[in-house]
Amino acid sequence: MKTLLLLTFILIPGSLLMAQTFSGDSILANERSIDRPITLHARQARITGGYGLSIISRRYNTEGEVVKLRDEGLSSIRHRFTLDLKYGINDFIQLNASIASSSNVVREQTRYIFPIEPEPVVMHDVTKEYSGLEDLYVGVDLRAPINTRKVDISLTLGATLPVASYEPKEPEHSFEVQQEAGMNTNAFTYRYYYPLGRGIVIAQLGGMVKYRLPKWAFSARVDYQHGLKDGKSYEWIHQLDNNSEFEYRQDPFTYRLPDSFSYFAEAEYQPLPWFDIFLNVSGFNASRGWTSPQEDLKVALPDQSGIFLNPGFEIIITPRLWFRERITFALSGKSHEAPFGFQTTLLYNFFPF
Amino acid sequence: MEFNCSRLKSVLLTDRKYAARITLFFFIMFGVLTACNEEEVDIVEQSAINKWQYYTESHGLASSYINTIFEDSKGNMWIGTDQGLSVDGPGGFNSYTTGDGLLSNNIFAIAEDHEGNIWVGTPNGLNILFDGDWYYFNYFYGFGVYALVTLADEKGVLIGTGGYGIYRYDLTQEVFEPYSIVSNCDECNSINTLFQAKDQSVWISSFKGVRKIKDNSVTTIDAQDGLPGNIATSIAEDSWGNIWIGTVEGKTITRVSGNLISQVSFNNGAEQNFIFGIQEDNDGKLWVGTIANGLFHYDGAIMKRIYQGPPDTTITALLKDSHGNLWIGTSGGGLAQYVTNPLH
Repeated sequence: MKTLLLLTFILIPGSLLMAQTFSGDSILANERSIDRPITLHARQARITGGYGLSIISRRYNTEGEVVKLRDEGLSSIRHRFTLDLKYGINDFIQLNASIASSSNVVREQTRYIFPIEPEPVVMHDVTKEYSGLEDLYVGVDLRAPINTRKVDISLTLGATLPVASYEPKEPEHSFEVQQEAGMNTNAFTYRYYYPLGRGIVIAQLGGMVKYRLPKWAFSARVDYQHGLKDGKSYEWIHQLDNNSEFEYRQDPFTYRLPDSFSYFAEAEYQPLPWFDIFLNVSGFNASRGWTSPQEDLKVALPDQSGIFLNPGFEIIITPRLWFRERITFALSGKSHEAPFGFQTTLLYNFFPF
Repeated sequence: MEFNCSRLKSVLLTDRKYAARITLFFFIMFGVLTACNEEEVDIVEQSAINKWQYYTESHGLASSYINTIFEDSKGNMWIGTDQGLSVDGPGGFNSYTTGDGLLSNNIFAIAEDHEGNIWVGTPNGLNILFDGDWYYFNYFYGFGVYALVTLADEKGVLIGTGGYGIYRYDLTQEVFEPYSIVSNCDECNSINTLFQAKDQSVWISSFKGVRKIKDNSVTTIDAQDGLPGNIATSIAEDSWGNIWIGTVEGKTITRVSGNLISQVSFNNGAEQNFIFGIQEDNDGKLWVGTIANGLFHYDGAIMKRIYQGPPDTTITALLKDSHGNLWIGTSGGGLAQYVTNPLH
């Protein structure tokens, strides 16, 4: 009897739920990019996997002037893989989770020559590796229940959780005396490892609006991020001992992540039902961060900003599988790199329940 | 049950209760963001750090010829010059001279005892600032006092003399007693620097090398042991526990790490780098002052000369204060401060 009651309570609402469901594929098949609601449809899931390649050969200094890293021998490449999961609880509430992993190695080589010394050449080879998992973002998007095709509005509440490593790994330096053209060269090789976690929970509040025309859609989004507490980490200090071996120690410091305000505006044009092109202008401002190497001193981190132009297109390969390609050009900024990059994304949609 | 969008929309748009709640929500969010953005007043801009500041007679210094620099337990900076003793205060430096009771205007050593009294070594003897007045010790009257150090374990103050060795003032007994005197060696008894390391060992630089005294055992380091020369002028300890020794002769500075002695070259080709000050900064880098050859910075791999900043090429004293700022005394160029903490 109990089993029957249990089955009744489970199966009847379940069957009612099933009765409400619709063919997800047919919705997706007939929905152009510009027509999509800001949040997913009820019970729709989306897995998005992406790969981004950034060529970092320029940088903006604190005054916003371009510094050519290539001229300084500091150009580098960043590879970034992203995974994003979304699920629509209903047509107005969507859950998000996303994580990324990236890798960027910057190498700098400097040669010092002291012609009047018996060991006239000192070589510095510094490698800084910024790689690993980034923090996990979780959030919820709440779409306003406005019953019009033209306008869509949503509110985002989220947090970035410090799941990734944020304390730097012990460096691996080495020293050797090399012979170069009959002269002794003191060669120092420094290798530093910087993880990409940020060490604290970062709250996020954002909003998005989308406005549609028959073949066009315009959207804009703003997000505000704020770290919920100050972080603690350390940097590695080294010395070369008398046996020509490096020894290391940790020097602790505290820090506050900058508050970040990011935004984008996008225009989409849908020439064909399965093909969409877009032009996106995105940017961010980050300020009010500091680092404290000693108890009685907090040094402000330089304010950062960046504006980027991102043209791209999307192809609906099948109703479930979409392909998106985007190019990034840096337009302006301060205290930030100016990458030129490509972002390739595959989006897979399905209705799991 | 199917969700009725139009019904909800009509509720949202027509019912004023919801409008009021939405307005309240936005006010709360605005308040939260405003609170998050509250200014912190004790944050310094990056442009304000790693700057040079300069002090000369116009700032109240007794002279621009600096012999020694000392910070007392209250954070006051004491500057010994060839024309008197200066101490920083509101509105600039105030100076003391023989007119105030000093035995000489040429100040070579400064220390503070455990009761907060300031001790001053001069070529004519030893002064003490006690309850706002200067006194001198008859015991050293007429003797040159060139080095002072207060022992951390409250066993007194060490006094290094010019040719008569080292004496200790016992704070509990209030008496002077010989501490380290080498018989038949005037050079050994001519003391340039006294320094106590973190392991409580006392390091003495003299005209005949360096002596380390720990637990009543004495270790001597001189030219035979690897020092570039016998006239040792400066001693400092870094945060790794290495002892750095500067000498008058030679092209290098000496590092003592445990029982191992090694040399770091100045890379400047000079046959002689007369070192007159060694100090580690907050980043673990070493600053080295020389007579006539300028100020150097050692990052663990390369010794580089700092051309921009120091007001003179003759560096006579180096000190990092308790807030991390570096003070550089020169001969003729006055006093310079390399500011790493502008709040102090």
